[in-house]
Amino acid sequence: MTRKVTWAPPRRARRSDLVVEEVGGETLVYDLERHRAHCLSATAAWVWRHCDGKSTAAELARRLSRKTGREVGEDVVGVALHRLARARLLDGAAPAAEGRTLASRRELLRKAALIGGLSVLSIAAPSAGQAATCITRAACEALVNGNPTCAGQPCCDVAGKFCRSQGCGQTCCCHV
Amino acid sequence: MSAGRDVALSVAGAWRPAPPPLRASSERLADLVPLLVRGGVGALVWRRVRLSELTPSPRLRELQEAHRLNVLQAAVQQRALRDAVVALASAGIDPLLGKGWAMARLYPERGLRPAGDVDLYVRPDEVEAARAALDRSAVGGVDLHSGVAELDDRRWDALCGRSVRIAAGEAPVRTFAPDDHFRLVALHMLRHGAWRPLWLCDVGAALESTASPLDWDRVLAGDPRRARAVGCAARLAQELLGARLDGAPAAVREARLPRWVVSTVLRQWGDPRLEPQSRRRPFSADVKQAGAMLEALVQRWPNPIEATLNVGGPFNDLPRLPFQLAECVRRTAGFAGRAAARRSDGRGPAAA
Repeated sequence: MTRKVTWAPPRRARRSDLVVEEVGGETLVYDLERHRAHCLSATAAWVWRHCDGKSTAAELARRLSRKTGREVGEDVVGVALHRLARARLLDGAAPAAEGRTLASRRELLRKAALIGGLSVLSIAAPSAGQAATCITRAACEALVNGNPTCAGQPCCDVAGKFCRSQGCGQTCCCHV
Repeated sequence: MSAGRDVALSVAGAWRPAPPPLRASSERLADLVPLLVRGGVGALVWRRVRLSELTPSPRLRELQEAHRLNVLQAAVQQRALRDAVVALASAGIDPLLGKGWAMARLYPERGLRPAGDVDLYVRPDEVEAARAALDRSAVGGVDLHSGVAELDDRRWDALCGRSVRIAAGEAPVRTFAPDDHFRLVALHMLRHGAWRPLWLCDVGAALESTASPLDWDRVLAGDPRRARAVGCAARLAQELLGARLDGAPAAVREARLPRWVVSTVLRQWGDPRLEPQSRRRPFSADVKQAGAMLEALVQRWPNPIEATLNVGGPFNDLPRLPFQLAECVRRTAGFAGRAAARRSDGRGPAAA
């Protein structure tokens, strides 16, 4: 099965309000604006770092081919760009379709796997720790102590703590 | 073997640069994942999985997610810590950093220990100014403490005098001396009933730290009942997690660990339905319905460890019932006092 995908003009990697950490060959990115965490494979991270607002997908593909010693198609880089844009890691809107034929998804992913994969994973908070709907610290602290709403929901921006009354002052607070 | 015991085996020695080999099967570990993540030790166990020959199943990958999140949280917190230290310095306040972020330094890799927020301690007479300084700078993610409840048998000036400066990114910040910090984390763990395995790993990591060796005279100085409780925490780390007590005095090494302490901890670690005190609905929310109230009372029956510490009881082999009853009375009195205070100034119901 084929599909038509087009690549938008060159994009620039978003730099603001992001915390970036490298661990064990992975690039971890925390979006301070949306409170989302992402894990980028080595290749996706390379593409992201080289989004300078000038290089096209074709140019990035050529450079990536030189770096890896394997032929990398524009379509492969395009998929990485699409995923990065979807994760809001590029400035501007998501790439639009342009009318270029891509190989099958399977073939594309096979090619991507040869250069280390293109994954841009969203990191979910582990389910056991964040089972309930979370509440922001500000919202928690806006509740008067004793308010039944202050019922131990996880605090979204303070991992490992829960909005509660016990041990707090006039208002509820995020506590272990 | 109980789930609690399996959790203990999974994290035994996990804080060491070279942790002992993991002996659990992939299937058994997968069953434990929710307990490990809830207990804050997901990343520690993930490291042991990585170092073992186990093939990580999708379920075990949740532990890796915990590690990734810990890494990012630590980086986010480092920014919060830097901003908080700058904001407080502008108000002439030099805080002490404690617990999570500071304890994470004792682990051999980044991201092994989750840290919920940045715990900063200031002199009680500076807390209002400190809060105002943080609010002015819109610094979030900071848990500001007025004094140090667990160390209130020590003078603030003495704690500051012994404190050490550490680098937190670009901002140097003071943290507690290793012995004060050990006492703080041990008592904090007991005050919360030791329901998180992570807290006992902290105790193990502090006991074995060669970079920050403990001065046991200082660890055990102050209120002798609390000192015995701290000794009990050290013995618990030895008994359940294999922590080494090489430098500890004989009084600690040979102290008898009451059987109820171990059974209480293992029961909590292995209970998937455990709802720690901090995550319960406020008692005031249940007090109006008889059925809900009865259930709430059962849920609130005090954990023997926290009851013993909170009423200042001894950690010995005597039955815990009197201490649990005393803790009930203490809590009820607190609840009634808060409810009365709220009624008198026209606010909502109190929390328990």
